[in-house]
Amino acid sequence: MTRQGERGQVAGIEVLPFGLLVFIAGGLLLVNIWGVVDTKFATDAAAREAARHVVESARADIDDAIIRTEATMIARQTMADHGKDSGADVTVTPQGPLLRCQRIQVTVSTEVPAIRIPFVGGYGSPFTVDATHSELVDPTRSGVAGRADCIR
Amino acid sequence: MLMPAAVLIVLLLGAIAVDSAIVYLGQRQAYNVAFDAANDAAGAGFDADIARTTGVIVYDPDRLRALAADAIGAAGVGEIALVSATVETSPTGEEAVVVTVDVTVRHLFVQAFGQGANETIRISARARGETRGP
Repeated sequence: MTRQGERGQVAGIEVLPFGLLVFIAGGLLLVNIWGVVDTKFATDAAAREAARHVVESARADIDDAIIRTEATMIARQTMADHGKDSGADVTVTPQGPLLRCQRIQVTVSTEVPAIRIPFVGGYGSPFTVDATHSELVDPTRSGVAGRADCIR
Repeated sequence: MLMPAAVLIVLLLGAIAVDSAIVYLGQRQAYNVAFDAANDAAGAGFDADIARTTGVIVYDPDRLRALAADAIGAAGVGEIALVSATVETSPTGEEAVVVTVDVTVRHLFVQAFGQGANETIRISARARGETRGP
């Protein structure tokens, strides 16, 4: 039996770094998916809390601007409680006085980096994650301006 | 052969993760919209005269459906369709408004493995109204 040499024993070794890169890319993909899901949860909760505040606080003797400002603060606080400290955009519509049976819509949007590396930070052009929650101003609660046209 | 297999497995798991995330987010969004609709319908879909005179909440099925449809329309999510908005009685005898919606979520990768491109999920949410004195 004669030795045939060791040529060819390392054939394909260049694929190993490629495979490792694929694993790293796959890991990053999973982390980023979770980042988007997590941010979606946070924006959902923030929009809900803000809308609930508006419909439950609306009163004829309270300036609607104050309630809207409070709703914005509540939405940002909810985002912070979910560990999302980046400033979220909060939109409360429609503008103007808060009336009975009026549909209040709160949209919270924030940006998620395209690539987020754990313990390092985010890179790439961010994309927007938003959530909208809508609710009627309580038609039967006392102290609210307007007619309860939505009930019969 | 191990490395190509490993790469394929990673790609497969990644695809499953992406599609699962899409389905889960669609499910959550549909639940939120259904809950909003049920809440609005329970809060405004009753007969006000009966509630004022007797304190009993009697829901109007047509109003429930209209209010639920309004709430779903306001959510602005095209993939969510109202199935029903009804009054159901729990085993304890309490009436609640139950809004059921269908949400269609679109798979991104799984269709490559022979699954359908779209999946329809049915979600129900329940809300109950009560009267309180001043």
